[in-house]
Amino acid sequence: MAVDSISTSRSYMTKHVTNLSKMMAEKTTQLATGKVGTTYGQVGNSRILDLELTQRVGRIEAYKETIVKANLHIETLNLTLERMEDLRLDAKSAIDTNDFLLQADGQTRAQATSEILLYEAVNLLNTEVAGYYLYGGSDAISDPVAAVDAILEGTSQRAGLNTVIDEFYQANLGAQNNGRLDIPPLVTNYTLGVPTDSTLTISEDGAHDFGFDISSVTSGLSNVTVTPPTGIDPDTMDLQFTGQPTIGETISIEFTLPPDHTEPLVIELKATSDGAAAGTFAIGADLEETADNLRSAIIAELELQAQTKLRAVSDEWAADSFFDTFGGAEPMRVDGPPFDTATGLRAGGSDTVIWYTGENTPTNDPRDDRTSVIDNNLEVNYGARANEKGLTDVIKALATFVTADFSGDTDIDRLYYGELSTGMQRVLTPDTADQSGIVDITTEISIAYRTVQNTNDRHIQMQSSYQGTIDEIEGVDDELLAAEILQLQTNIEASYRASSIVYQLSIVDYL
Amino acid sequence: MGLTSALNTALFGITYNQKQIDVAASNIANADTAGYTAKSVEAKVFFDGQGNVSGLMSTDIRRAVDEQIQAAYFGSRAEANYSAQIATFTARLDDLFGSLDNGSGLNALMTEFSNSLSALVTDPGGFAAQKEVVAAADSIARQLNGSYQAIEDMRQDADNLMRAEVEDINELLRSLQDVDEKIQDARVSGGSVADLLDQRDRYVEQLSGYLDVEIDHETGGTLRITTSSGQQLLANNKASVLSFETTNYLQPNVSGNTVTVTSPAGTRTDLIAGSDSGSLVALAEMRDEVLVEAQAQLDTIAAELSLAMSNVTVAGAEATVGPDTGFDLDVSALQAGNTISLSYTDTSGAQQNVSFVAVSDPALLPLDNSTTARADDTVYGIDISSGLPANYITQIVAALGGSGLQVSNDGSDNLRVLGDVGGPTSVQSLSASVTPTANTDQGLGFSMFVDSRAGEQVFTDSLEAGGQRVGYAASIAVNSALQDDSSLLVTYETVPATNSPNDSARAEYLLERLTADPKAFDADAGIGNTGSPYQGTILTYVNQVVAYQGNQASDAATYAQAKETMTTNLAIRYEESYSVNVDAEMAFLIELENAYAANARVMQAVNELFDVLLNTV
Repeated sequence: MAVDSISTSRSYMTKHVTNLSKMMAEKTTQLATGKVGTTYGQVGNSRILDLELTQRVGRIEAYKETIVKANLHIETLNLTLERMEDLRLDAKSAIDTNDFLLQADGQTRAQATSEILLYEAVNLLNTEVAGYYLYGGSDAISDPVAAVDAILEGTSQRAGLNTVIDEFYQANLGAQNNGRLDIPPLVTNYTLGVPTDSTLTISEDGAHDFGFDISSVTSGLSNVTVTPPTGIDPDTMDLQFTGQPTIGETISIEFTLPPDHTEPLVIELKATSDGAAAGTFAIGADLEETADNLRSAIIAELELQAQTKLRAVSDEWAADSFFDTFGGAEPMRVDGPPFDTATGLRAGGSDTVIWYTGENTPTNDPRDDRTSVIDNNLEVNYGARANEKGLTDVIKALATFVTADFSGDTDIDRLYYGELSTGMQRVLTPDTADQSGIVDITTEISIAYRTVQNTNDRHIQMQSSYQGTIDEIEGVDDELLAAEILQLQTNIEASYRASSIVYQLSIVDYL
Repeated sequence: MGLTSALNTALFGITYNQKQIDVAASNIANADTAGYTAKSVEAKVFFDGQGNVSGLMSTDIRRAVDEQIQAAYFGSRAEANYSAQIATFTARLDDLFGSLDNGSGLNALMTEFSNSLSALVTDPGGFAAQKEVVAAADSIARQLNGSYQAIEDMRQDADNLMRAEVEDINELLRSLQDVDEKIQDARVSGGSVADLLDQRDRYVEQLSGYLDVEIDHETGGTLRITTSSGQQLLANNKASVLSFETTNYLQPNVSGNTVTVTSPAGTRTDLIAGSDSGSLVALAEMRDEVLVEAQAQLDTIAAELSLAMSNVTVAGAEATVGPDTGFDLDVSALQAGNTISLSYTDTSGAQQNVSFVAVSDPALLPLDNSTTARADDTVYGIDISSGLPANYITQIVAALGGSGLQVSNDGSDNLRVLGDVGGPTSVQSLSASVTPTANTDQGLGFSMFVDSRAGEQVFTDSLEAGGQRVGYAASIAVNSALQDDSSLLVTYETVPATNSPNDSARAEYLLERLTADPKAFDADAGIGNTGSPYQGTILTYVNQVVAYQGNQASDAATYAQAKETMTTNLAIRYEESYSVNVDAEMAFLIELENAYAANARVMQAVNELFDVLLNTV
């Protein structure tokens, strides 16, 4: 520190001019950058607003990126859902009850068409957009729906739909091929070799849901005493012939179909002289023979129904058990072997093909599986799971139909075809008349799409309005700045000139 | 009257003229020397009884200084230097916190962090999205570390500058003592003191920039210099000594050493506490207040960010005993710094909030209500050093003794708080905010940020050892487990099964905690006040901090500019009052030349008259 080193005089005029040129430099920088300063300290008292808005603009940028992604997902979802709905309609028309046309490979033409549709449906449900599986809930990391072959035929460790259907069929059909019923030989009492009464008994083979349930008997036969079913499983009924019925009289026995035994199947038989026509039985030489004829007719009718109607119902039941896994439910299998005497179902999660492997946690709304945050406190949900009802139904109907074997081309095959195709058509027809489950999903997704679009529009508006305010706070008015710079230039020039005059003026020069 | 008398008068005139010419020449020669005051010399004329000049005595050389302006100028310098010093430092803070548009400011990084989390919600399984979050978190941690260190460096700068200034001041005081001695000597020997006074003024001018000093003149012409609060710096021509020790490492939230002034008599006083202006005081204020506050703001950001990402809420389970309802709460997971929050309605129907803060050091108890940032709660500390939930519950039962609530251990070491229908009191909520110790299986939160002061430690905001959050910004780091495996952003559960890699639950939780979870912030960091703390999300808090620093810098700059202008004005007037006007001096020189010639002429005329007289005789 040495005071004497300050050797030049303080000339405040120079300082003033220096200040002016510093200000000039500052203004020129402002003109170049378009900003009033370089830090928030220099933007004035609106800096907190500026900060908040800058942050919001940054957030909006991120939301817009999210929206681009969400849009892609939702648009793809819409496309695939539309196609799924078309597939459902195509499947409905393909599974034509009246069109039994066997091809050389053993499939009917309808089955061949269905198989193609099935492959497409599975493919659609496995749609992936950049690592996100649209129909796998939130967390699928691979195809959520198993390959068609695996679904139908199973893998080495796990049973496919074919096996499951077969097991259900065995369980429903029973060893007697009559829908799990016992119809033992008649019990006849004789007096001197002449039958006095003969009893025909039909009973269920156990307490279970498989096969037919005996529901009720309506007898119009004279000389026949009916012991009706009690309604308690396993049920049984007796028809005791104490004499011959009259020709033209009828008896109808009502059975119900599995699994819930609400759908009736009525076998009505009419007493005729020869019993040749279907739905009739012959009056025999004595009451025993008549009773036996009735028994045979009943057995024949039951066997026929068991291989057609009951089989179709059994297939549907099997398919439901296999496919209805929504919300974490396990596929159900017949508890066996032996299957033909099975009395219940078991969980088949460990040895059955899990056709849907995406997210399957219990939920009320699969839409919630997928969340995109598109604004502060605004989320859109557009998740979907391939095992939602509307989507499952399409796969279920097609797969079940493809699995069925009609290659024998027998009358029974044709009847079975008719029954199964009717059943599958029912599956494909929405419960409420006007729209299918797929349309419901589409509607929900479309609402999300609308929200995304509206939000995006709002973002664009907000961003430009925020940006405008930011520019006002941080920016400079070019015209004003240009005028200021011009003014400064004039001032500096004038100051230089004035200083120069002052410095040159000295009386010394004039002495 | 006689010829001799005229000759004498002319002789006096010539002598005086010569002195004046000397002074004028010196003025002209030193016109450009800093601090040189224009000098002048005056004369006293003595007359005899007949009106003849009998003698002429030139006075001392006088300085042309306006002492009022000088005093105002010196006084203004302290304030100007003080505000300039503050403005310099706060401008550095402003640069550090909030540069427009470069994307590296804390606010920009925070926005980027929340954006990366939103992207992760949309694409949890995406490796790129996960890495993006880790990178953004890392940027924030590093920015906090860097900013904290930069402020620490600024504190050290201030500390070192204080030492330099203290040395300068000591030097100045010694010089003043010397110059005063010389002035006294010169006075005694009758020499001129004007130049010495000039020099003394220059020392005082410098001194007045460092400290807010009072200048008085003692009898005998020496100076008496004290600080504004009366501490003696120079008196009776004896200088006091300032002493100051720099600190090698300035601890967070701890003030550095102060400057001590030791008077010649040996009295020691604190200089900084007794001064309120000048650049030395500004440096101490920056080092111990402004910069410490900025560090506290960084610490708050770091702490709240860590807690937002990590802490999970353990909700109380509803419980009913007889007619009374309330909650059972598992308190076993409490760590030091974690809190239990209870809201209830007391017997008078008023809403009460109670926070129990866990501490592992019982010496900290009892805690003050200001321990939590919330303004509307009563705070109790619980000693968790026993590690036994039953023991915690016993303490809580004791704390809530007069509340009218039924507080108990439910039998399996859960805290049970029930209302009392008879009271009547009722419990609205009971929950705990707990920091997970593992990265998975303890809820959706996890320690994304860790305290790296001693290895990697979970940040729980514990109060021990002065508080974990003090200085945390310097050592906040991204959890190394997360850096090694970004899938931790998605995997929150491994038992019984690992959750899906496409599960966005954790990402959603983290985003919500960052952007949509308003909380109260500790007012000690300068934003908000204790009675109504700032409430908002971390994102908005960061904005507040940047704006606060910007505001501070802008205010300091404006104030400094105003002071600077005022001081400059005074300086110009001061300089005008003493500076040499060469033109005037030159004109005066001509005048002197003429006067000299005239005097000479008079002498010549007298001489001629004598010749005539002598020749006639």
